[in-house]
Amino acid sequence: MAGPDTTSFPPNPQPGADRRGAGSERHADIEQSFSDYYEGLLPDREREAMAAHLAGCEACRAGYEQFKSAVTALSELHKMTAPPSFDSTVEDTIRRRSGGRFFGRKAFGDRVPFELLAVVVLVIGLAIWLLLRSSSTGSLRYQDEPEQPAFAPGARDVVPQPAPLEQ
Amino acid sequence: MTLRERRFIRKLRERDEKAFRDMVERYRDQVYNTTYRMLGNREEAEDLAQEVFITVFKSIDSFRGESKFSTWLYRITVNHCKNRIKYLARRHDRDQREYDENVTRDGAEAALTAPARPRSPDRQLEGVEMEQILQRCIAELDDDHRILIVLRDIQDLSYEEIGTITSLPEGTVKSRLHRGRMALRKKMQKYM
Ligand SMILES: [Zn+2]
Repeated sequence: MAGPDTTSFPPNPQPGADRRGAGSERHADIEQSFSDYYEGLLPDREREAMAAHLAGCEACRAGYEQFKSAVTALSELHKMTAPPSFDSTVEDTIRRRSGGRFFGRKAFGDRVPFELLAVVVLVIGLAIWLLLRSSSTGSLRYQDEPEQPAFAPGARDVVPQPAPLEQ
Repeated sequence: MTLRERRFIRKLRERDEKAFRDMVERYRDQVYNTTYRMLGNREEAEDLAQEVFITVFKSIDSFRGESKFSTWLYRITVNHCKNRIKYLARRHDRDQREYDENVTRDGAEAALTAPARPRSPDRQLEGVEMEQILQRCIAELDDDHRILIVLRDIQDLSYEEIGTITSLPEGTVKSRLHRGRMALRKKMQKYM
């Protein structure tokens, strides 16, 4: 594992000792160690040297403060949660793409629009029921005339009389 | 891998629907938060997070158990993110305006709906602005930097795990992450 480049990091045991002599290279080295310093990954000696430099160098201190607030803000971003429909959408997609092999409780409905079919069947059923209910015959047969009596009143010849017995 | 995890993986391999449901329920927020912070757009993030789980369902046989399941899941997530970022970059010009609006709106919504500690009105505005600015700055980073920042500073993963997810040596992860953080700091200075 490649650790931080410690050879290019000049330790500064005396706080503020090289404030004047430090060139931009020195500050650049300090910047290189911001992450390791922030995460507590520097060995003791380097950490102390870093702290000492920051204490004595306003530019690096300001730079480090900005760095720290940016990284801290990242960790404080609130955690987003998946929308409530997430799980069912995943399952629906798998069902669709697998042709109903998985999560396929509604597989039949995939090939035929099942819901539509159910509605149509229901409507037809309801229509038949209403028709049956309104029909006086209790059947679907259409009847256009009121029922006539089977024979005219007083008709005598309708009912066959028994033939007179031969004497 | 624990015995329990092994059994769980076996059930996933058998395409056990209940096991898959449990897995989605357990990991959906982790995946969604990652895709959202990488893409900065709710619709894209949700769509991509769904593709991640569909890939898991299809490709679970290729999980060899050499890493934790969640590491493998992150690997799939990161690969999907990289591809989507490339795809979106091609659409960039056309969609830039819409994208910016989404980032702003989502950032504001996210911060307002966050179950945050009580704040004064001033502090709340600051929080909303901070989320917006930060999300915008993340979106402006190179995707290599963005991935590492999301995995380390937002998802709080170890360097070792990030190394496994990205197939990068730990030293490279560290140095690249540092450059990403410095780039982020610079971008944030514009807004401060
Ligand atoms: Zn300095």
